[in-house]
Amino acid sequence: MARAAGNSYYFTGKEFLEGLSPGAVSVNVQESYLPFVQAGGGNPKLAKLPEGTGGLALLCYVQSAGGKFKSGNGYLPISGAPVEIIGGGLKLAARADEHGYVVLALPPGQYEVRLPGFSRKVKLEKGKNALVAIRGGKRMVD
Amino acid sequence: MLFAALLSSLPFLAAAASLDDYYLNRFGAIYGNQLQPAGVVSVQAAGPQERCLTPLYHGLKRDWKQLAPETQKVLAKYLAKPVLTGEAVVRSSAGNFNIHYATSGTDVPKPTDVNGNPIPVTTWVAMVADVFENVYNVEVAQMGYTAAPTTAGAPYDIYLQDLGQTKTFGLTESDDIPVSPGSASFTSSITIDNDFADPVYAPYKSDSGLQITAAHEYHHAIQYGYNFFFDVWYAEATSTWIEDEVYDGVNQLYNYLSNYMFNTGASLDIPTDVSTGGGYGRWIFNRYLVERFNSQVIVRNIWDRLRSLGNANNGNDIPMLPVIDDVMTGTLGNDFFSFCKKLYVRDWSNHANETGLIYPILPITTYSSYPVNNASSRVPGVTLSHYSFAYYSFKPSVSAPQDLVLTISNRSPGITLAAFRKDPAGNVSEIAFAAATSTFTAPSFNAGTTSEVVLLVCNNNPTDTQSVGFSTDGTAIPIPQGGFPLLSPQQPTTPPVSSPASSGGGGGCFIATAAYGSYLHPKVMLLREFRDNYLLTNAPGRAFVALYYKVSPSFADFIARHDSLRRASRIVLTPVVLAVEYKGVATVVLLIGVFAMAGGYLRSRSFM
Repeated sequence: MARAAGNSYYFTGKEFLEGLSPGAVSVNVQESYLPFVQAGGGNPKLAKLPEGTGGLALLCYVQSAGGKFKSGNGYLPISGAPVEIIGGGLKLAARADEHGYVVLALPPGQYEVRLPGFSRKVKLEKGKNALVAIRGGKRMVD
Repeated sequence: MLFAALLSSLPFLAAAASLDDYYLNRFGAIYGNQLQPAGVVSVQAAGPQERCLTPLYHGLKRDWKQLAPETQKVLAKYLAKPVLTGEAVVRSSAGNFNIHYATSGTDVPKPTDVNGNPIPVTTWVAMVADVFENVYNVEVAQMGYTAAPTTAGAPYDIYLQDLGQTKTFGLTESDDIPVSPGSASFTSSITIDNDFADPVYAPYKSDSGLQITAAHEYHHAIQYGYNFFFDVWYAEATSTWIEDEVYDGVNQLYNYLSNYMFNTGASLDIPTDVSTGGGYGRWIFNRYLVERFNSQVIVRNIWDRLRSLGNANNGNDIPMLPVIDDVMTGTLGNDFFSFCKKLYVRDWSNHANETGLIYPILPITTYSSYPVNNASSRVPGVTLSHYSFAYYSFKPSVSAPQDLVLTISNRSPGITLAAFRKDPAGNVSEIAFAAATSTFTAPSFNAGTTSEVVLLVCNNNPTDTQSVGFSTDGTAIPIPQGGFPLLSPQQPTTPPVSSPASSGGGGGCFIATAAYGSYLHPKVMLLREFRDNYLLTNAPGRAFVALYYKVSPSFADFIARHDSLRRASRIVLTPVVLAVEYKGVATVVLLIGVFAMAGGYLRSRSFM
């Protein structure tokens, strides 16, 4: 899903919400610029999307649910997750960063993103960014 | 051709280099030896040899134990397994489990028995192994569930890690690849607390904490094997239910019912959250199903049906209610209604000796001022979401009519109702609904032969926002735009439980539970009766109870940690317990007066 420019989003375990949440990693999405991950230390220099590409900010996560003492509902980033991205004649492999994010600029079109055992479809548009989360596992707490 | 060349070179590579080098090189070749920053702005096509990673991951799991510890540490993130210092592994007696534990560092078990006396680590680990084998024997061999899948038929991995700091009994996490390409069945691993000796687990320490956690978590492992895409609430409901099927007597699961009873207006399938009864508190629905179908098999049938669906929801979890309805051949609505009635009538036959541990229903409102109509302080109407319910209680009083006639108005199609009459001896009978007049009638309501009439309002439909009004004077209750706001039960005034282990249970008797060691202690149950039947029937008593809920959890936590304080608390509580137990009327009246004065004093001083 393409997002409007210049906003921060954080993942709740189920969906991305606009804004910042204390202690949560967020991703800044701005039209025509490559998204970047915000993890509590200064913002990197903005980088324009290469001509004719769209941006993809992909979060790889393990769903967390349950908890007998307190709710353990949420998510865990899959640091170093191996991701395959297939579409538009391309077959790519990438690895998620320590926060579970993969950030790429790609030609517009339909793609399939894959974690081992899981996949989902993504549509990228020129000059816009897609914010996508793919579940790569489930943790039942208690 | 390149792929074939790579395959043919593998034996040579394996001979020429160690297994560690092989996996480190393969993962390093794909992903690099250093973390790369995000934000790649150019793209390159990957080589054909990296097209499918599944065989590599399967191989890593298969060969894991042959790898050097340093290699395991580097590659552990790809398998999401705990890394234990000085890891030792014990195979269970029947070979179904490998128990992994630390021999040094912070995760070393420091087990104690129920009295706090240390026991050898090797004894504890052997106990862990035996408990899991027993769980396997019951859940797989006896109950017929398919064993949790493992890679290449290896024993299932159990990790002992210090989880006390995170206040977790255990967790079960799926591995990141299915048992076969495209399958919805996933392998998994379990991590449980290393010794259940941390005070946070009280009163379920040592073997009791181990037992229920093993039963609970192993069923999660079974669930991953059936279908990864299970609905979390039903997974927790089933794992909680099965604790009592495997280890009847620990009874921690009863603690989760109070928050369900406090939130009956929330749907059966609300997100799992112990504070609302979501998931955990819903285990009682499985007990109802077992009783309804006279067999535990019904629960397994539900999981079998889920297994047959595979990845039917495009990578999303599969909503469980339609699956349950399908297995029940379309009777979920009727059975949910029957379930709601049973919660009040309490005529359980399954685990019948534990019926007293089932938290009673909490009426949203108890009416004792009549007539009950649109002018009542708590408007007699309700709007319910799917598969939820609400109870309303009507007590005899000076203003009550001789015959109680409940007139139902503006009922949405999804609402089903029932009414019950309870006599002073506690006998319950159902009141017939007169469809012609849309009424329930309890004759001689105020004649001393009725202790209460209750009205059950149930939305036993998958449709939300279903409403109904009711009155005792025949007037119709209009449904407001958007429905009635959902109210919390009038009594008690605070949710019964927030943390099962620290308070020892639910129902709000924090100090008493700490003093007697268990929410389920008979003396504690007597004190709850005193609260419900005497304190909560008058305003000063209710004020005292509210203050008690406010301050007692922190006191209870302190008391629970000190033997001397527990003994002192029991001494202080003894007169109250004896008065309630032997129904000394004069003593009870005196105690009511004391508590009422205390409550009134505290209110006047604005402490509440």
